[in-house]
Amino acid sequence: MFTKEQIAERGFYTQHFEQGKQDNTLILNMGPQHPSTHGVLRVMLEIDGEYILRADPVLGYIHRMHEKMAEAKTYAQFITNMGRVDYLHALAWNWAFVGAVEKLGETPPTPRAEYLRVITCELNRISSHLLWWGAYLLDLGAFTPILYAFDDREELLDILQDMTGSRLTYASFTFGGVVADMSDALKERITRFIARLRDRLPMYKSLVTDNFILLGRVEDIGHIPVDMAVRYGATGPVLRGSGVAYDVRRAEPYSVYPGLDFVVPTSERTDALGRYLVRMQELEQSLNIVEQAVAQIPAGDIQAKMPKKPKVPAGEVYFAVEGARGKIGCYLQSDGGGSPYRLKLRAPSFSNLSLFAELSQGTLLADAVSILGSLDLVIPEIDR
Amino acid sequence: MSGHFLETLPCLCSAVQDPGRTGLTFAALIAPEQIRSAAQLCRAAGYHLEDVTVCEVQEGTLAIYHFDRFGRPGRISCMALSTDNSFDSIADIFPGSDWHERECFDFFGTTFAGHPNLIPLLLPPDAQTPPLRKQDGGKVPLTTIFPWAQAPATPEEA
Repeated sequence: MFTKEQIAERGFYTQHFEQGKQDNTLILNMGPQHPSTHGVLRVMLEIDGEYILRADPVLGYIHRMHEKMAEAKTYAQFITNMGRVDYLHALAWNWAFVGAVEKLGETPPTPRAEYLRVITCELNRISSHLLWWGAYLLDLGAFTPILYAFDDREELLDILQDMTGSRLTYASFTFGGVVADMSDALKERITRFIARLRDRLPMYKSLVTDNFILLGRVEDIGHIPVDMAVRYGATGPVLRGSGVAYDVRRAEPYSVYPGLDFVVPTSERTDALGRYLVRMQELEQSLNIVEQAVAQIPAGDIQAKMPKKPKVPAGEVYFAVEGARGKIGCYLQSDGGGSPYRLKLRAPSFSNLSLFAELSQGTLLADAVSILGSLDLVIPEIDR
Repeated sequence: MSGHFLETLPCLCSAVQDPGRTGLTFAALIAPEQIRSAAQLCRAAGYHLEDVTVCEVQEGTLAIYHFDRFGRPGRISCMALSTDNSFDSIADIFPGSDWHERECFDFFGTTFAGHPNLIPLLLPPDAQTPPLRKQDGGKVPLTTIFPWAQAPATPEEA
């Protein structure tokens, strides 16, 4: 690590960034308290007039060292951490971790639990996309859509509260199952919600998606060619907005997804609008998945018979799930003890943001805000 | 020998993996000086870099690179063992590894030769102790976690 003297000599972040400055340009600091960075992201910019010459994100403002906590806690204790990595799609992180432990320990969950996981995880994906949609439009200056999005999301959070016990930082997946079952009344509410959102989506399309003011802000900016996505490891809607139909639920099938009928939406546009359209279609696809899962869910236990402390044999395992932002990976190494020997959390936003420096070169500052929004970043997930 | 493209590299100890058990299709332990060649082979074969991570074992520091493919998915794990906590950077081959390598530098103090900007990414610049370093007594042998790395295949055997 660096000593204080080395820090002073070399210069960190802004001082270092300034060293390559050209004449007649301006170094601008965006964030970490800028509303469009959604949390605590800082981007250093060198701008020439309104055009970005260089950009460099600075991370770490909400770093919590989850990977160290994993080594200090028991397997079961660590599940609560997984609700706090990505607060918008917490259940996908739950799934990545319990899935890794179950895979290494060869203790699969019960069939009913698999369906309950699919239902809650997809409802959580919808709530994440709705929040992204409202917040993205808010970034672009449209205030009203977020009120509609939160109206829908409120209904969803009520349902998830009854199914998981919490409204945001879910930790309802256990090794071998889930903590709570779905009652018939809840099933009815989910069905009503599906009908409600299906009713609202055409309105969102005609009022917002087809609106030429929105199109003016998202069309033809932030083009991500497939090769750039490969070089940076971008996944999720960011990749699918560039025309690659890669979805972990299909590419590396897990749980009961192979038996469910859904398509992986893509867009050949490669720009911010392409990513926007992919997410709007994913809302519909997730509704289809939930509808099928609710119809097909078998009766039975929600928890497999497991010892209180899971016995995890020595070895390594990589378990990936499709989160709202892309591929969430849990790489677990066990030495056979009561806590992980090493746990690596692969956050999709981390890779998706790492291409921003290249992507934003030469764009207008105002477009960079729109590009950042189109990447759908969750900063706590990047910082972990 | 499975005929995998990574097996064209020298000094290789490799194994075909069962994705249903480990989530990997292939794993290889290569010499640290071969990391850049391995990354170039993966790049040419259309793989993207999923993540780079480091772990400590009794034999030294292990850098682990996970690659996957969008077209024909199948994760491969490429590992290298170093006794001086230092590796070559692959940030010019896969720019996505820039931040991953900085994160490893944060957490383990691992240095990556040739990295364009190896400053702390997530920890404060003046953080003194890499938080994920293990005490000597807490480390396990390589083969505890990677049983397939028990009998390294030598080039002569191949």
